[in-house]
Amino acid sequence: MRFGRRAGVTGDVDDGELVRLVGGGDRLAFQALYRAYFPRLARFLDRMTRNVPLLEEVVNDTMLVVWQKASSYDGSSKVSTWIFGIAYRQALKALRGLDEPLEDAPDVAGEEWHEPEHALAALQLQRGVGRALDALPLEQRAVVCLTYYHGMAYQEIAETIGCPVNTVKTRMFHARLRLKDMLSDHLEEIR
Amino acid sequence: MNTQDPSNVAEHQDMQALLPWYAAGSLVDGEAARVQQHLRDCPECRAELAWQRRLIETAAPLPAGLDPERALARLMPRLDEAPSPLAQPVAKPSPVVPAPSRFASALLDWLRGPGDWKGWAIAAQALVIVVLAANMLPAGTPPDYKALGSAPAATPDVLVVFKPDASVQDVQRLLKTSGAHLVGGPTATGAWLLDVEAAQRASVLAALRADPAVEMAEALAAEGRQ
Repeated sequence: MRFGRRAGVTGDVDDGELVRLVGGGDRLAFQALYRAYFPRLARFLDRMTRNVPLLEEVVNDTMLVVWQKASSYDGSSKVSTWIFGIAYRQALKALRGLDEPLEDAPDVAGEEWHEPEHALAALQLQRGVGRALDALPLEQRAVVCLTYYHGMAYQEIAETIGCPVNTVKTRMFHARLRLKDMLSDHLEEIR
Repeated sequence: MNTQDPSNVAEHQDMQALLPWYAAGSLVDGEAARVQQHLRDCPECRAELAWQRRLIETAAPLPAGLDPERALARLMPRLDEAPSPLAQPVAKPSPVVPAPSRFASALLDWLRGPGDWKGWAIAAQALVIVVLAANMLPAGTPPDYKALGSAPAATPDVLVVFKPDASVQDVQRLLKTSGAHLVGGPTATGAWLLDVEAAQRASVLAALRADPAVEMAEALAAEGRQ
């Protein structure tokens, strides 16, 4: 099969070629692009949606837009930036109106991050961090996730979510303060 | 760091703002060198960096239950709902579009419109339903998306929105008694696409509309035809 590469190893050069083929209506290319991006989008959207069925639906809605818009992709941004930008907007669309905390939501108190003391420390820490991330407003969570878990530069994040570079830095700054506050119980483990 | 010097304070704040991307290794070389320089003289930023690196290391694994192939199989029929814009004019030189198709595409466009919370709630719930419903398909039938270029996929001609409290049993019963096949969905508004024998379309529609588990059932072709 032409697109028999392992998912996740396609570089952006290959991605660009795939998107060009998808723009021409090539379904095999679309399936290859889908398989390459599913794990990355799932990791990003897992933090955004916290719900497996919804996560898969947002991945699908994202990739449907990719299918529909591939012919107008002009290569001015990286393929990953373009696709993550679509995913971000699809996640916002899906989650607005749910009880997701948004940018100006009040602070979440930190007292609920306790786990039984005998729990495995690593797992406890992981879960604590996961829950702290989940408690961040959506916009901050997206910036943290793209920075820490997708290795995106701040300029790329600004492009992905469609905001100025300084907004990315500001969101990250506030997110760090909140994370520190919420993870104060775990601070000793983290240090 | 000399915190008395305002220029040092500004530099400290600038560098601290860049630490997340330094920790993740995504700064350009010039900026990374500046941060590195600052870190030598700033214990506060070194501690902050260590903290952030631990955060990065605690990346949680992907949740259990994800299945890319299942999700892809669900998506492929939706590509038929909305052909790639470039492919469309090439694939369809100038066919006369019958009125029912225009109605169908308008309805589908409406259904694909911006999702609201209710649509998503229904879609998320109904996902469980369709996975179970898919298990009812005859064994050995390959998924449509693998039959690229060999045979056209089933054409949806009825769409149905189940009530949020509809159970899996409700849907199984409806599909069994109506003889309809699920061929796509959910759309952004939680609608499912059914393939129904043309001769039975009117009676299936009537049965669906009368069923308490059904929120809405509409024909994607004019009801009076065929």
